[in-house]
Amino acid sequence: MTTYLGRRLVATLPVLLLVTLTTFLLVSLLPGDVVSAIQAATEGIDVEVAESLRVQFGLDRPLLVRYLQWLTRLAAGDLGRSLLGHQPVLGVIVDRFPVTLLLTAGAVVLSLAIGIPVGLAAGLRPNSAFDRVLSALAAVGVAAPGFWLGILLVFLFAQRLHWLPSFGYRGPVEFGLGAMAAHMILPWITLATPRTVEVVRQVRSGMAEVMAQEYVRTARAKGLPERAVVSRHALRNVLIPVVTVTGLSAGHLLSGAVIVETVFLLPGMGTLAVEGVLTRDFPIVQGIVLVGASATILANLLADVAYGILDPRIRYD
Amino acid sequence: MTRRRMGRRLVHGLLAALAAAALSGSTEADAGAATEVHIRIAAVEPNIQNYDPHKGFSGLEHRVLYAVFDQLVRFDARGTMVPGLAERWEWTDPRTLVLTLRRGVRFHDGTPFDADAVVFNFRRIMDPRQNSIVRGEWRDVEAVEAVDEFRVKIVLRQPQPAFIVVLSDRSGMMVSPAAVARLGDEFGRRPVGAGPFILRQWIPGSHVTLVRNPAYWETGYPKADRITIYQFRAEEPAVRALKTGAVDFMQGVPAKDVPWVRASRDFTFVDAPTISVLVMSFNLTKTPVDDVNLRRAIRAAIDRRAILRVVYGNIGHLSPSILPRGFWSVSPTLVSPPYDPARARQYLSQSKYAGETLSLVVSPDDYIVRASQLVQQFLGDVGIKAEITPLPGPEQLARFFTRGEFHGRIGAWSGRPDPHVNYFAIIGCGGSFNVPRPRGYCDPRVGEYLEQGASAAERSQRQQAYAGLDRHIIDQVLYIPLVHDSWAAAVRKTLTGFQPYVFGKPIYKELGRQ
Repeated sequence: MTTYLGRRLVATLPVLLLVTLTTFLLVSLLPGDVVSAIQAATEGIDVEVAESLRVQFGLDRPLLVRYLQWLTRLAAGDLGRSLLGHQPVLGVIVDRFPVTLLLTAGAVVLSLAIGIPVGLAAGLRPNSAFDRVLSALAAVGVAAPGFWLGILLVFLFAQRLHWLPSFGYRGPVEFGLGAMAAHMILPWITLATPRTVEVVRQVRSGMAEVMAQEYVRTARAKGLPERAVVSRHALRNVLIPVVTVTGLSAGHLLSGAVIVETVFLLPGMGTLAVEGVLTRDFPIVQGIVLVGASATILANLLADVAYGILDPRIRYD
Repeated sequence: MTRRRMGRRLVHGLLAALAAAALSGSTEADAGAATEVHIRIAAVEPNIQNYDPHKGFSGLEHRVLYAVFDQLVRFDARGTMVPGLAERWEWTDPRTLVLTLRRGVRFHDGTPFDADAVVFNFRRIMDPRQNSIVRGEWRDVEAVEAVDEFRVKIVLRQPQPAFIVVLSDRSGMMVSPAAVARLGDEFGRRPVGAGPFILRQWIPGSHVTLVRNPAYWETGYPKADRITIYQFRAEEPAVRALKTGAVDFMQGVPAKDVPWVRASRDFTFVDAPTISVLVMSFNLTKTPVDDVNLRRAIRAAIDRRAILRVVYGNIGHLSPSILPRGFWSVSPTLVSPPYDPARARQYLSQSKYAGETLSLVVSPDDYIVRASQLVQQFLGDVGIKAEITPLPGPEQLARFFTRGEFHGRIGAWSGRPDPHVNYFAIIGCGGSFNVPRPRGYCDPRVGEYLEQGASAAERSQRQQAYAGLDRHIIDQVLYIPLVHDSWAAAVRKTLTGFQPYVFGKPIYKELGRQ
């Protein structure tokens, strides 16, 4: 297991290198740089100031040299500084990451907490009325774009009923868990809905399939109560694809977070990424891509490890 | 405990927590309302990274900068220059400006505001290593020095009577030297000034919290104890925040939501002009738009009233000048030739236009694209072909302003409170908005009027110069102002002190509650 994990971690290095290089090139391919973003925002600054800013930001150097410089600093654990805000990129990301983590982790928990039992109920009685209604709802849930659902929730719960706040983030340390949760409920639901539908569908189809297997018949034959058959024998097998889907969804969740953070005014990494790209603040963009890619790789790795726990037959040597 | 019971407890616990959270969420707005005046603002202020007045870069930062820093001099509601942190200013000779500072003022960190602090600020801006965004404004300054504890002398290389204007903007916003020394690069995140509000908290991408500066020098201000500015990325979520009733003020309500504000029992709608304007400008060095008759044809072909009606929902203002009607420098008798397609065809036949497709770069904002499409249609009606290319700011800068691609541009000009700065930027020789850079199109007549306006001592003389300049611009069609933005503000009826200043930014210290 340890060697396996070691191998996997080493294998992430070239992936991260490739991802950051691609992003670097893409951001550089965008017309205009951070100085022209500044000039556009200020509607023009002194040409001399613009040129010395370019020198200060190192934009006068060739592209590859800039990437290598960034890489060298990274090797020393330095992500550089934001060109516009002047703060260390690491500090900015540390400020913003917890919000995105809270948002995405909450959405994952919510999607599993709702998706597994609902999928189970539907899968145990395939083609029942409940199952059919659920399939219809699932189709809607998967088709509904995140921002649209978010707006709908805000309209109902914030604008009409005044039950929940629709914007602003309250850190748990400063404002307490209650205020934090109240501000996160609508974002969580928005981000979790498509994932929940995915989980429901996986569990439902898996359950329907597994319940027809011979080992289920055997379990029943040896007199186990139905509950034990489902929870101890069937569900475990069903959960493997769910884990896969959840692990693979890390990328979707991060991109979904960009939209949800914008709709609900959450100060997370998603909005930071948008700002970074729009202002061509490349150290920020690079930092986010690095963290985002690492998080995605880590989520996939965790999913692999979870297989081994769920299915004792799977061994990593 | 069995697994089942554990599961149930977990579910019950979660539900209870959610209910409690929902309750605390709904009552939060009322917390502390008893004595404290707390005003909440929905602002569309994306991408703000820095509140260092000398190092920031976006005009959207000003609303907070005015509150935290104050300026040496200010403009009042009618656009007149009035004292701020400088009590008086005097030209002792045409090149020497002496500022007399207000006494007894302290920065938020308790350090004194005096001549040394002001000199520190000026030198900080002028220091090339600092790369201040406003260093260009100080290019003609030879020296700055403290005369005594409360007087500062600025010596210019050549007379420039309009120089005082720069002290009303970023260059006149005074930072605490001690805080700059202490915080270094962090200063932009935790700014310290001498203004009416102290910046208590700033979470980029979320909100800014300002609290009253109890030691502020101007008696009676600020009116509020606390102001929270929610910084939305776009108008839509900001409008939704307004509709939930959780904010007290929003500027720039989109036309489609104006009926809601007007019908609301809680809000008043304020429709007053600002200096921010949608303008059609040209690369005047490029053929065929270097032909004045083609430009006259273009102007006569465009029905600005229709743009105002269709795109702006009539929430906007028309003016013959780059500054709005009613602004002190705009002559009341100034007129722009009316929409007249027949006249446009006539001009067109006198021009060298030979059926080329004019390329227009436009800003990718929804309303600008729609306005541009209307313009394209109007031009097509008289036989001028045009294609529009929406490009974001940095790209426009690279391709239109610097490389001189495209024949023209339709985009916003945010406006400046002094006429000289507006005209110089857009059509002055070397102005930042004059294309192609670095010099752009240099019209000697424009230079003469600008000189006249800047060197005049009396306001009436300046008015005369700018009236002449406006007539020249209209005659030569150097650009076409399309529609001036409205404040389009939703103001809670219990809010007091709001004034729709023509420079288009609310002054937070004046906002209070009944």
